[in-house]
Formats: sequence, structure tokens, C-alpha cells
Amino acid sequence: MAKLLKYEFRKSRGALLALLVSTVLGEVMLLGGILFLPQDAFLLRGEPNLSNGTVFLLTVGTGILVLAGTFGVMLCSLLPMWTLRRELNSSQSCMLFLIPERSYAVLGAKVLEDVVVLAVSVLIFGLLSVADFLLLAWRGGGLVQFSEILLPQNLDMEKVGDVCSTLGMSALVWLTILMVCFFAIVMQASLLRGKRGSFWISLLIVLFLAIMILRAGSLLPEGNTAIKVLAHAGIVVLLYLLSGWIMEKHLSI
Amino acid sequence: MNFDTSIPIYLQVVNDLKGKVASGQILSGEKLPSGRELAQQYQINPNTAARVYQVLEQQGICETRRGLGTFVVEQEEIQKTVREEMAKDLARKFLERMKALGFTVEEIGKILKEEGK
Amino acid sequence: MTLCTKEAEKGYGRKKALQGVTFDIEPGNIYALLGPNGSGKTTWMKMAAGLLHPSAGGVLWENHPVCWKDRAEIAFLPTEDYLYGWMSVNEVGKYYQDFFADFSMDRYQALLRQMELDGNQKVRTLSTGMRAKCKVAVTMARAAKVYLLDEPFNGIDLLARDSILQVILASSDPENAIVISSHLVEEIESAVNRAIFFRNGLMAADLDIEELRTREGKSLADKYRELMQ
Repeated sequence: MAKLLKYEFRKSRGALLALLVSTVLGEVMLLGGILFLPQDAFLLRGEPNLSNGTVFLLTVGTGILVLAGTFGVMLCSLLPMWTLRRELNSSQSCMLFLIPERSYAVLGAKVLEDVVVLAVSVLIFGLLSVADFLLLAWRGGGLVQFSEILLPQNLDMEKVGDVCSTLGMSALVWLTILMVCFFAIVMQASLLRGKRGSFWISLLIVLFLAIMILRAGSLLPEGNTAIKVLAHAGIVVLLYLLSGWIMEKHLSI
Repeated sequence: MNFDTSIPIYLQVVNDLKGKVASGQILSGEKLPSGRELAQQYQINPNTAARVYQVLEQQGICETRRGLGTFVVEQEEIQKTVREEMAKDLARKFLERMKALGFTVEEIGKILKEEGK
Repeated sequence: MTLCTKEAEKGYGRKKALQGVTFDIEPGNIYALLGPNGSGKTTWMKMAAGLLHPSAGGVLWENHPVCWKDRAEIAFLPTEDYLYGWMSVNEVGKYYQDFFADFSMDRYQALLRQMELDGNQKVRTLSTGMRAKCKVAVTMARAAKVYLLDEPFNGIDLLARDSILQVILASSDPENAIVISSHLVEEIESAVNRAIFFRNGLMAADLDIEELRTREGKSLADKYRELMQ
């Protein structure tokens, strides 16, 4: 599995590198903007007198980070699946199926790559946003005010928990959607192979399943994150096993 | 070596090797290449190469010594014997074909003398 | 170990690529798998390599139906251009080394030298002929028990073909079997010792070639013409 994972990351190398570079760029710009911010700029009366350069760095830097953290991560997580689609539908499928590995492992490596990318991204962007926020607050002079919000008296574990679970939940929901896409791709490559419009049919499958899942999700009792997490995890596992089974039994190279 | 693929290849290699013994290219008692080496040399299937040595052994031209390899038999006369045998074989075939064209043995003899000059 | 094919069938919808073939592939032999396009040769090879599931019957290796684990002992060379374009020739070797215990990097490098391939070149920049050579090199650098080569000479020039044939001959030993599917009947005649003929998804003949020459005075090419007319 480790070897398969190594090659999966190798295939996504370009995109992941681009994501890393843009994140670093955005962060550097933001830090630069914060640096040029006059100390306690937000505490002064009236409009803070900021140079155009500082404004540029702050806004563009933040913008890049936000885009990287959302679209960037989403695109990177779509890549293993897109690669699978290309591999299964071309002669390169031989490269995956010549080797003595089960289809479950081959698919599993791709899903695992996504899990790792999502987890690491959530962690990094989460930490970055907290750090940047604190830095901005400190520089802008509002650290005392902000720290009053953040200090233990006002810092409910619940609030922190809320933030974490929102991030985590979004990642999990996204993973579920990715899993639905994997399933559709495997379906298209095996059962629907060669049939006309198979791509559109599989797209419909994705939409149908995604809607069903989200509908079902809204039926669950509110506030009970544990059940939601389990439900999503369950769907991910189910789709994985199903996709793996289809690949193993029905895929003709 | 270019083979006539409608005749067994092993026979053609056997003849080639016998020819080398007959002309002295391979000497009595000399070590012959292993089956695999023979296959590489002539670019033939290893099974065919093995068969070549089987036949040569049957014909008493070579022998396998356990652990050492295949050798041409240690006989002074071997070159002469093989030469004579091959000559007779060639002659027989030649005569057959000439007779099929309608020549008598005397006529064949005359032609050979002429051509031999 | 013998690769046994028993009544193997494969259908795609109404079409039947294989209609029930039975034969054995035994070690110590080099087989020619011959037949016109569409006769089922590639289908059989993919089945024997564990890439296809039979509709009926099947191929047995070590007394069980061929499965994914057997790919570690059965080497398959597809006709398709299957190497990742983004890999370099050396990286292709590393990939094989990572997944196949019987792969020898030394042997691979030696074969690359023999075929004059540059290890640092990316596959996508290689010509068709060079890609074909690379495929052969990486497959023959394995010490497999069975080699299934599907048209290994496609797109390869004469000298390189001679070179590949040399490699195939050198790889043959009493413990392994090599099956070559090719249209170049005359070129492989002296290298192979057994021939299996396919026609319309059925096996038309399974014979020893030297015996063919002895008994019928025919070459493999002659026999092909006789069977396929």
C-alpha cells in the first residue's frame, strides 16, 4: 500500500506543489502586509492611514490563502479521481493492473491520498488562520480586546469544538462527495464501458447520490455530530468497498 | 546461420558441426559449447540445441562428461571418419539428383573430371 | 509449474472472443501463439495474466484460477502503449522494482544499454519504437515463471528485433515458459519450439515444430498458411 501511495502522490506532485507554492506566496504577502501595518493601526481614531502597498499585500495575500484553502484543496483532492478516470479508460490501466495488487488497494491508495491531503490541509490552513489572526490582532493593536474574547474565561471548549467540527465536518462531507465520484468513475469504466453517454450517466449518478446523501443528512437529528460523522464515514466505507468490488470483478482491461 | 525452416533445424546444426569436425575447425577431444551457449551462437531454441547434442552423441561424434560438459570424442580418426561419412552422404545425394536428370555414372564421372580441372 | 487452460471462454455481449480453448503451457519451452487478428490471442493472454475474467472455464496456475497474486510470477507484456508518459525510462524500472520481487535493476540497465535507450528520457518523448523496446526491456528484466509477450516486435526495426529475440532466447530456461504472440512467423521460427494456432476464438493446432518439420517437411509459415486458408 505504501508503494501505491507513493506513486499516487507522485502523480499529483504538480498540483500539490502548486498548492504549496500559492499558500506560501499568500502567507508571505499577508505577513508582509502585517509587517508594514503601523503598530496599533486599528486603535487610532478615524481611518487608519495605510499605504496602497500594505492594503494590496493584506487583501491579495488573504485572498490567495482563502482560495488556496478552499478551491485549491478541493482541486487537489479531485486529482486522484480524475487520474483514475484517465487511467481506467486508456491503455494506462495496464500499469495499474499488471502489478500484483488488489483493486481494493489500488483504489484505497487514491482514497488515502485524498484523506491525507484533506487532513493536512485542514490542519495547516486551520493553524495558519489562527496564527495570522493573532498576528493581525497584535499588530493592529486590538490584541487586548481580541484576547479578551479568546482568553480562557470566554474561551468555551464548545466554541473551539464548534470551529473544529465545522472544519472537520466540511472535510468529511467533501470526502463523501469524492467517494461518490470514485464510485461513478469505476461504474463508468466497468459496467457502463463503451456505452454512449457513459460519462453523462455517471455524472447523473454522482448528482443523484450526492443529493440523496445530503437529503438524508438533513434528516438526522440536529446537533448530534457523532451520528453525522458516523453516517458519513459509513457511506465512505460502503462506497469504497462497492467500488473496489466492481473494479475487482467486473473491470475488463 | 540462415536455416531452411522446412527441414528440422537440429539436423542442420548437426550437419554444420559435423562439417566443422570434418574440416578440422573443431578438433578431436575439444570442448563444445554448452547447450545454452550453442543456442545463443546459432540463435535457436535451447531444446533444439539439446537435441543437436543428443544426435551427435548417438552418432558417436561427441560425448557428455558429467559436470564437465560436452566434448568431441577423443579419437584420432574422428576427423577422417566424419569427413568420409559426409562425403559419402553428399555423393549419394548428388548422384541421386544427377540420375534423376538422366545421367549415367560414367557421364557423371566425366563431368566431375572436367569441372575438377 | 504448468499454466493450464481448460475450456476457456470469453464473450462480450453477443460476440465471443474465445469459444473454449484447452491447452497447457509447460516450462522449458518457448511457444509461438499464432493466428489472425481477432482470433482471441490477446484475450487469452489477458486471461492468463489475470486481467480478464473468463465467461466459462478458465486458466489455472498452480491448481487455482489465475488471480491477482499470480501477477508476481506471470509477466505480461501488453501490445498497448501502457507506460506512464510522465515517467523517465529509469523510473519505469523503479516502478517495476517496487512491485515485482523478481525484477532485476541490473538486468534492466544492461538491456537498456543493449537497446540503446537513455535512462533519463521521459517516456512521452520516446518514439514508438523506443517505447516498444522499453516495454520489452522492463518485462524481460523480471525473472518470471511465465512470460506472455503480446506482439513484442510491433513497431520495432529489424536490428532491434534481432536483439530482442536474443534476449528472449537468453531468458529461456528449464524453469520458465515464454509465449510469444506475433505475426512475424518466419522471424521467430528458429527461436520457438512449440506453436499454438488460434482461429476464430478456437484452437486450431498445438504442435512441436521440429516434429512438424520431420513429419510433414513443412515450416511454421507453411503450416500457418495451411491452417488459416
